[in-house]
This record gives sequence, C-alpha cells and structure tokens, in this order.
Amino acid sequence: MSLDLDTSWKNIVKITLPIFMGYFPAGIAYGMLAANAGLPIWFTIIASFTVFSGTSQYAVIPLMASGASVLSIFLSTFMMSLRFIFYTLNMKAVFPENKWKKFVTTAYLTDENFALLSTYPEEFRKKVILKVGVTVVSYWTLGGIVGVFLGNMIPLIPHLDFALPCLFALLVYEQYKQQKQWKPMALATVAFLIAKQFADNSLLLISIVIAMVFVIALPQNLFFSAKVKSKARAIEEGGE
Amino acid sequence: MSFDYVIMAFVALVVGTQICRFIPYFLPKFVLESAILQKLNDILPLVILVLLVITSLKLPESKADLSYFFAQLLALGCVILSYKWLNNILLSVVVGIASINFFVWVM
Repeated sequence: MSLDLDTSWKNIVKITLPIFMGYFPAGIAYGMLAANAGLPIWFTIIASFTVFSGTSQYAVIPLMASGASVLSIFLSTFMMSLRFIFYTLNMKAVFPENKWKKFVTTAYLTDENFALLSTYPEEFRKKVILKVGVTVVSYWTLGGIVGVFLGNMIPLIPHLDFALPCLFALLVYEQYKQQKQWKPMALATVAFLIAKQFADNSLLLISIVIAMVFVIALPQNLFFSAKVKSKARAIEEGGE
Repeated sequence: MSFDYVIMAFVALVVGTQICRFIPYFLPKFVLESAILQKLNDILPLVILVLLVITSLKLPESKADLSYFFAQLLALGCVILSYKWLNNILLSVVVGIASINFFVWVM
C-alpha cells in the first residue's frame, strides 16, 4: 500500500475523509438525541470538543434524562473509556514536545484516529498527530451542532426516544465484531438480572459494579479464547 | 434538569472520559500492565454497552407490555441488519425509529 506522506492541512483533510463519513452523521445523531432529551444546547456542543467520545456522549443522554447520579455518570464513562489508556501508551512516543500541543493531542485521541495513525510510519505520525486530532474533533463537533439544530426543528416523531437503544445496539454490534465473544453480553444480562432483584434505582451503576466483580474474580480465558487473546496482545504490541 | 446538575454531570463526563487518556502520564507502568486492568479493558466496554441497551429498553412489567417489548426487539434486529447492509449509523437509527412505529402499529 502506498501512503501519502504530505503533512499539509489539505492532505490531512484528505486522509481523514473516511473518519468524516463516520463522524459527521454520528455527530448529527448525537446532537438530535441530546436536543430531544432536553439537554442544554451549550452542554451538547461543548461536550463534543471537551469529551470527544461518541460512546460516553451517547451514554450520558439517557443517564442525564433520567436524573442519574453524578457517580453513575462518572463510573460508566470511565469504564467505557478504559481503552484510551492503551491508545495513549501506544502513541506517547509520537506526541509533540510542547506541553499544550501534547495536552490537545492526548485529549483528542480516539478509536478512529488511533487506527488511522497506526497505519503510517512513526516520523509522519509525529508531524500530523495534532493536526489529525484537531481535524477529526471539528468533524464531530460540526455534526453535533447540525444535529442540535435539526433536533430542535424537527416536530415530535413517535418513539423518537427509541433512537438511543438503536445507537447502543449499533455500538454493541461494532464491539462484538472486534471481539467475536458473546460471553461479555451474557455477563451483562446476568449482572442486570441480579441488580434488578434488589434495586429499582441506579440499575446501570449497580449492574456495572456486579459485572466488574465478576470480571475481576473470573479467569480471563473464561471470556476469551487463547487465539483472540494472543491476537489482541499482538495488536497492542504492534501499535496497530 | 437544574443548572447545577448539568454542570456536575458535565464535569463527571469530561473527567470520566479524559482521565483515561491522561492516566499513562501519572500511573506507574506495572499498574498499567496489570492483568486486572487488561481484563477490565477487554471485557467491560461490551458489558456496559449491552447494559445500556437493556436499561434503555422499556422492559415488560406485565403481560400487556409484552407486545411492545417484542416490537422493540424486532426493531433492533432491523437496525442491525440495516447497519450490516448500509454501514451508516444515522440511516440505521432512522430505520430503527420507522421499524418500532411499524411493529407497534402491527402488533
């Protein structure tokens, strides 16, 4: 595969175009859902460039709409974002030396730009990592802004709130495609059923805590085959 | 939704997400490489996403709610199929909303 190693903004836009195709519509969906759930416009837009994580931002919509505790919001977004630790670890070597540039680069590392940057040589990554981060966060924020205004303009559609389970189901599907494991899904169902026996409120938080206890207590090979584990490890070590 | 709640939720959301991106600057390597953290990272995201699906559905409280519950499951099936076909989040969400309206009307 021949790679275009031009570091100009024009080329950055070109190489991030596939990310735009994913981020822009997903950002619109986020903005529309947040607007329909009654989240303030400023919150929705500012979260797009301060959080910059679709999963966390989608997850917080039903949590806030149902008045979930701040601890629930923190714990669920923290647990869903754990993968970012490994992205930063992998990309640390190519971060800019200037502390502000390093800060922005770290804050804007996501699944998609990590995957994109991983395909390029280290020297090129070093030169463009900040530009790529700023460019893709612009796509996401722009989508969110368009979504907020569309969400406020479109008349009430019956069952519009069903968009959220749809989005989460798509994220489950994406995650499942990578792992090809059904056991974490079974674990989630079991954790939810246990939580439902003794709690009516904070079901998500209690279910997460129960699932965490199971994950820590049970051996990993119960969830993943040796083949999947070794593949995951090889990807982490190779930075791809 | 009070202003104070929105601010606190915003801080929890930003900190909960961004802390993970900045942890490698502060935590020693042996902690980052610990088996427990690896295990949580491997398994928990999918667990939480499934929990989000479950908790965002209207679960049946009585027999009367069963048809709506099944309508939701069928609509989610349509969402996944459309995503496999179109590979577009926004379009699949539109398919999902159209499907739930259709199945509720039919059932």
